Amino acid sequence: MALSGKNKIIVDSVHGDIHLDEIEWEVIDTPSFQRLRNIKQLQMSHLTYPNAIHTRFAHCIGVLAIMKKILAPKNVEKLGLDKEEQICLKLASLLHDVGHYPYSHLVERLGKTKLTEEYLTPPGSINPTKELAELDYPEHDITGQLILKHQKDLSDAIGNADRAKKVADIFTGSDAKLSPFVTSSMDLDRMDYLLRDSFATGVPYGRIDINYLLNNIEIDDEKLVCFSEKAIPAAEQFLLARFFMHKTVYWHKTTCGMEEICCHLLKRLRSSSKAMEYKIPSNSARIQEIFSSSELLVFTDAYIDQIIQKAVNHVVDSNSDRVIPLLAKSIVYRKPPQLLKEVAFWHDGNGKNHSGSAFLRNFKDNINSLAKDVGLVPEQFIFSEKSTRIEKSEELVSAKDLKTIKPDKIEKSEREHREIVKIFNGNKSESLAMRPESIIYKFANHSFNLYRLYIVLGTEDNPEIIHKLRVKVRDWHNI
Amino acid sequence: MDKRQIAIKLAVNTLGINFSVGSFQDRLILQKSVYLSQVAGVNFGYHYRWYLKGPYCNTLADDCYAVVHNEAEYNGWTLDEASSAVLKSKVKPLLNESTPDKLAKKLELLASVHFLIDRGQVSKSNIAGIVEVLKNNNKNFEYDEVKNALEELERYGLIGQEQNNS
Repeated sequence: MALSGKNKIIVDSVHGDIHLDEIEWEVIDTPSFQRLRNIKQLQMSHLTYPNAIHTRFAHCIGVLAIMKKILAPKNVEKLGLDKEEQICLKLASLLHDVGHYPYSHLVERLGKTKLTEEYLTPPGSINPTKELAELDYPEHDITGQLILKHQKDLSDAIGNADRAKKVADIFTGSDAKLSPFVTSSMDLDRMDYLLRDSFATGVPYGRIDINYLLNNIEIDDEKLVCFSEKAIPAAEQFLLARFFMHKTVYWHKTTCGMEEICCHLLKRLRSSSKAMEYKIPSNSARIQEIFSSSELLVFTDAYIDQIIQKAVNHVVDSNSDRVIPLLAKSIVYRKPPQLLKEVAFWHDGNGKNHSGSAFLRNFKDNINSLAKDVGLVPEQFIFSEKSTRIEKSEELVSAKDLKTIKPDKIEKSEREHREIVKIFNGNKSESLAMRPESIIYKFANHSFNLYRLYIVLGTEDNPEIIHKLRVKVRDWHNI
Repeated sequence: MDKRQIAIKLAVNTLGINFSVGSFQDRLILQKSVYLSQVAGVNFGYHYRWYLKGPYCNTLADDCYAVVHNEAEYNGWTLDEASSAVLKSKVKPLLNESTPDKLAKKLELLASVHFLIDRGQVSKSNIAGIVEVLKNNNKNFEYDEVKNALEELERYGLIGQEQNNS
């Protein structure tokens, strides 16, 4: 990092020179923030794209850089933000990911991983608080809030406890006035990660026209950040970029397969008789302890790497444990699971019968017999379900509704969700997805879904079994 | 469906609400009903953020769509007795409005007031202050409406409850 008197500059491969204020530098210099150097932004994508080893650290500083551009004097005046609010917004953008888990979303979403046997569990009684809330780990903005509350190095660097609370409120969505700036249609997070991930992986689809977008910011009379009319093509490309990066990078079949293996492994270890030996946080309360204490500093990718390495020699003492060494070896020796079948489909929210539901139904109905046929166990099969939307909002009326709904109701409901990309139209703004000429209009309320079935064979290659399985599951998508 | 999706479907059934994502209003009713259910102590693990219509959860929105797409999968599942009892005694009584429009408006008010108090943004003793904050967020509720909302939240023990990730 180049030094320049009291102002520090970070030279960033995506944004160029990033000038830091003293307080930002002090925050970055804390051990709690430096921890992010040891958490990869893209989890296990480096197993597919070797240079995808960039970190949450670089990404957070990148988001700060974008916020600084948005808080240019002309915008600040229109937004009506005082100096303290601007400081808090910049710190919130810098710290929005400070609460990230090792391997980012992979560990964060561990509770939501569905093991094969869970697909086959017969109906019973559910106690949400005991089974769901306690086992699920808190989301990373909640753990970030814990860090700002309990880690003294950070709260000292921020200045005082009140400001630390305000910053946490902003990035957890609790500040009614300022939170929308961080989670607005601008989506600073997405702007940085698309560019950064594109640059690191070498996949060009994330290269958005960020300068053009930032140079065409307008503020409407409700103080919402939006884009000018001439930025519409750039805004459309911004929304589509995330979709294409999902298809090629985030959901790459090899990356996806390895990440699923990791989730299955960690979840099985967490519920095994040897869970204590592996030190996987058992529940939400344990996670909160880690993020509130000095244990935070070692809670990085290396923490999980050690668990995986240890699991290679796991001693099996129950049926659910039998695949643990197999899963661990697949990761350590980079032996991705084999893809048996993939079903991709768009869904507009209507109709329950589609190729994806047929695939899932066949999986549940036939997986036991399929495994038995080839001399394997069902736990070696992994079913993966992914879904995304081009436009984030769930509150948009569909194109179908537009024909029957009154104009004032459209306006009220479509402006509901602040994450909708908005276009400036005089003093007001309107959703890009409501413009019939926009490609985004066509995709409003559609989700893109990708279901996959993998088999984990560990370090043994067996083309004959793979072929046999692929033939057996070939028609599982038929309705 | 995963267990959480099954659980919210069962909870919404217990509350006597039609599980629909067909209109904006339907989705608002679902969001705020689940929020208040969590406040009452039936915790699904959703984390809410402040959006234009008050507390909102992205993950819950996705799960609601998943429930509608896979409705048959919850057949045979039940909610545990304790959770059902809490929903019936503390949340269901709040839902007795004559029309969906009125229900949606009431739930928006109840959930927003609770969220702001719980996050320390307003004090429950300063009703005028609450009205002001709501107005600043484009929610036009009268003093008496906010007062009644506070009374109902207190009557059913939803204010002053220990907050669990709502």
